[in-house]
Amino acid sequence: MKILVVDDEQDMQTLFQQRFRKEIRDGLVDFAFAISGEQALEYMKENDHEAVLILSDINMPGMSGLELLERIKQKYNTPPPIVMMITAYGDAENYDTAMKLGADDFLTKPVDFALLKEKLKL
Amino acid sequence: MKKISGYLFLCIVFATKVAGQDFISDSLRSEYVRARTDSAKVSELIALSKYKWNVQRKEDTAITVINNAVILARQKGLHAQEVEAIKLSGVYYTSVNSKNRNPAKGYQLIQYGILLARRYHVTDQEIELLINLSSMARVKADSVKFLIVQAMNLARRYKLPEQELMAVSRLGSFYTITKPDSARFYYLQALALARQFHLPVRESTLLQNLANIYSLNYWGDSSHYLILEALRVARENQLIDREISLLRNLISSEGGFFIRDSIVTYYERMKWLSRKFHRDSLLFMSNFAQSSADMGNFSQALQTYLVLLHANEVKKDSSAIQLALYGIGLAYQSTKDYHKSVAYFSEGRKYGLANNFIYIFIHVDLAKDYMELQQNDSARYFAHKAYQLSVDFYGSERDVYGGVLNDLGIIYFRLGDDSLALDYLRRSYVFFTKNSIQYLNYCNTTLGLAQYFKKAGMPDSSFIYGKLCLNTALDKGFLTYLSSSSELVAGYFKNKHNTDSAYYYQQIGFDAYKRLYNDESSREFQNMSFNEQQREKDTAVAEKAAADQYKSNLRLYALITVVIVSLLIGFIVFRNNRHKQRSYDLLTRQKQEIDIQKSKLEESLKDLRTTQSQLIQSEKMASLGELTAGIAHEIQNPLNFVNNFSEVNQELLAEMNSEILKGNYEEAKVIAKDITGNEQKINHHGKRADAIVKGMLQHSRSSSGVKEPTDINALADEYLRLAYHGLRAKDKSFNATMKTDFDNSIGNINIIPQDIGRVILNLITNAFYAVDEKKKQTGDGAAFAKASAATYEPIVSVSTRKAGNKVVIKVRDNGNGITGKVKDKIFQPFFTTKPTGEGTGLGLSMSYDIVTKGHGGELSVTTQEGEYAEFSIILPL
Repeated sequence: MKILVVDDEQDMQTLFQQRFRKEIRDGLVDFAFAISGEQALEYMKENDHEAVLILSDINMPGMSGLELLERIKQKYNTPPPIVMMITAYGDAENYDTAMKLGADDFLTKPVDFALLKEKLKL
Repeated sequence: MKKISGYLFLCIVFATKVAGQDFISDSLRSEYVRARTDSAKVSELIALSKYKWNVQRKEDTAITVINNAVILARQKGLHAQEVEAIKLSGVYYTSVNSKNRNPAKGYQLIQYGILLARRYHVTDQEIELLINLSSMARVKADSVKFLIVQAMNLARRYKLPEQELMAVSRLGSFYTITKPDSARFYYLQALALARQFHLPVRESTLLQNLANIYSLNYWGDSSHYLILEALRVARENQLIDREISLLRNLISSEGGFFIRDSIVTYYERMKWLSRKFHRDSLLFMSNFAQSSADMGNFSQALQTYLVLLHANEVKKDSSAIQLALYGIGLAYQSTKDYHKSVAYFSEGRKYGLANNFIYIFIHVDLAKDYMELQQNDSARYFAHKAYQLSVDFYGSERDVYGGVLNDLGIIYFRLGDDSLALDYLRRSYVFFTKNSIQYLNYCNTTLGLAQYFKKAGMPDSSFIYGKLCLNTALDKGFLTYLSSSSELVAGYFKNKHNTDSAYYYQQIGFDAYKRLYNDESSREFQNMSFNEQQREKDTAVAEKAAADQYKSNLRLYALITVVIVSLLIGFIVFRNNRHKQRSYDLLTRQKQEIDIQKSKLEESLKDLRTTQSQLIQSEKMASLGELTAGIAHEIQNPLNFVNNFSEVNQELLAEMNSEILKGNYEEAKVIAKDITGNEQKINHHGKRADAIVKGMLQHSRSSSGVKEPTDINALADEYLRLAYHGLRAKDKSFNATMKTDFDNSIGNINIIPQDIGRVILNLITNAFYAVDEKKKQTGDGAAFAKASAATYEPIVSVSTRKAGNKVVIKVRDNGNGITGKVKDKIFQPFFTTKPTGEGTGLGLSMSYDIVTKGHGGELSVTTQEGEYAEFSIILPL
């Protein structure tokens, strides 16, 4: 499965690649990275048929994760990609807004990769 | 010329009308006749209906007018105005206190309005309609929030600042009870918008809303400060209705910030304002009367009610007459004169459903009176009737107003119908804690429950509710509740053999009781002589009313005569005379006001000093709170990496070991490289977290308050670096050049280092923010970048200089500078130009106070738009 990870922290890329190295090696999963909402949309434009799952941070400079969520859910809906929010903002406000905008799940940082793998059924 | 001939026309045709307010609405009507375009006609109708509704309170007329506006707009295809008119009509029908209340119809209208607004792309009205919809009782809480967020996003997308403000402040009102911190946050956002777009009416209202929150959550005297600020804005911008609304809050004991000692002053001012600007004064007279009664000043309450009654009898306003009769009945009830009370209530009953709400309560209080007179059958009859009426009015048993439930509960309790009593009392308590906090009702309901539980033999529950009642009564000065609740609480402690506490609470109750009733004999005498005085006052009031009537009639006839005799000249001469007379009257009144104000000012100064220190504390708390929230989020990121990379490394080490055992040394080396890389990242993020925490601790260091010799250069340097690293931790793309120019001849100066440090930190943070903004602007949009964009170098410089017996510290940035309008406001509390959510707006105002009041210095700014801004702190040596 193709996963797009959106986070302004560069180290997230390394972290994911390390954490999922077995799954990557076995060809179960393939990662793409974007460091901003805008970059994520660019990627979606080119590859929208591919990305099945999007993991996005909320607090990013420029376009916030919630705005990105809204746009993705509006534009790409055949079929809609699964969007999960991963963020340090664990409060009810953000949770509610994310859910209202159609997020499929909501995880808080620090990321529990075991849980994430379970959710992704890997 | 048009206006004068208009007046002439009106004078002649409407010669028998007395009040000035009819002149205004009629001139509006004549404007309507003269308006050329259809669109202008519709606008006039809309404005007229608003005036009728808000100012004159002529509800039927307002509804007729707005319906005409809708029809006309629809005929002429004026979609935007049609939607606006529909919105207003929907609002009128759902207005709670209206006689024409029809919530179902209002709901339909609003829904229809939204449909039309979407069809015709009238987005600003759509947003307002969504907000109105969110306020309707039948909408569930989740949907309410969804609607408001929808409205807010629409407003942001279409860049409609006033609508955005309305949505944000609606969000604030939504959270007022459940999440006051969020409410505060949203109101502050809205306030920033109001200041940014120069909307003083909204600014004043928002300050009032904020004051309400502060008072609800007992955050010191900040609410008083904010109300005064709201009043100042209202007065500065001559917003009469706003000022009246604020004063009404201040004299009403239901308001959050009811100030006992000043209510007479505020009341007098309200009377003057309403007389001068022809506003309905009778509304707030009943507030004043009610507050007087709550404070135990029954004679003042009675006097006011009698004036109200007389005035409304003249006006033949049966709803207001019923209200006044009810008020008088209540006052007599409070002095335990139940027969008189019943008489007035029964009189009020004759006016039927003139005022639904009051009609219900007349029955409730008749039940109360009969209970006291030990006529239990009558009591039960009226209690039952009251409940039936409530169910009819509110639509269902579930929606019956808590106040009714509470009073009925207490009555049934006293009659011995225990299970019914508990049911009503519980429902009432739920109502008042779930819905809005109304202090009086809250006291009422908690006291009722306390008494119930005492009788039911559950002293602990009784104590809890009794204490709740007592705390609120103490805070708001409700003597009757204070007396009753403290008696209960004292009794509880007595039974627990805690004599000290029992005595303490007994004293509180005793004092309250004494203040309420003096002693028995003098009270009876007071009542008797009071009745005599009342009779005299009644005739005096009647005479005065007649005299006023005559005077205004006289003025009218004089106007007509003069205008007919010599149009222009006569008019001017008459106006001059009136102006002089008015000025004289005004002067004497003002002198009186000044004398009253002087003594109040001394009190206020003391209050303000306390408020100032409290505000500083709360700004510290606020900024610390925000900092902590921001910090917590900031730390999550590095923590995420530290935890995860170290877990990864554990796995990698295990893998490396197994590769070594297998003998695959090359593979092991590759893994080792990964491990090293990860460790470096762990170290980096760990240090990041450390820096963030250090920055936060610096900020929270509490001030000793004592001046000590300090090296100002070292202080400035330290805080400069602190600010820089703090910002870098938040935003890694941030970059700026720092320049320092310190005068080494200064040596040490006597200052409070943490305070001045905070000021410098604030100025430097602002400076960094400004240059960052400018950099982002010039760096954005590569296609439009100016030639100088690539070469913009953000510079922040801090310099110190000794000048005679003063030290000058300057913080300069080459950002976008400060515009003229903004420059006057930057030291105001809550003023910020930062986008919503990014600034409290208290930094500069606190800095100003620290420098000027704390150190006797000066804080000033010089700036050039687009080029630089330079703040100067001047401290005496």
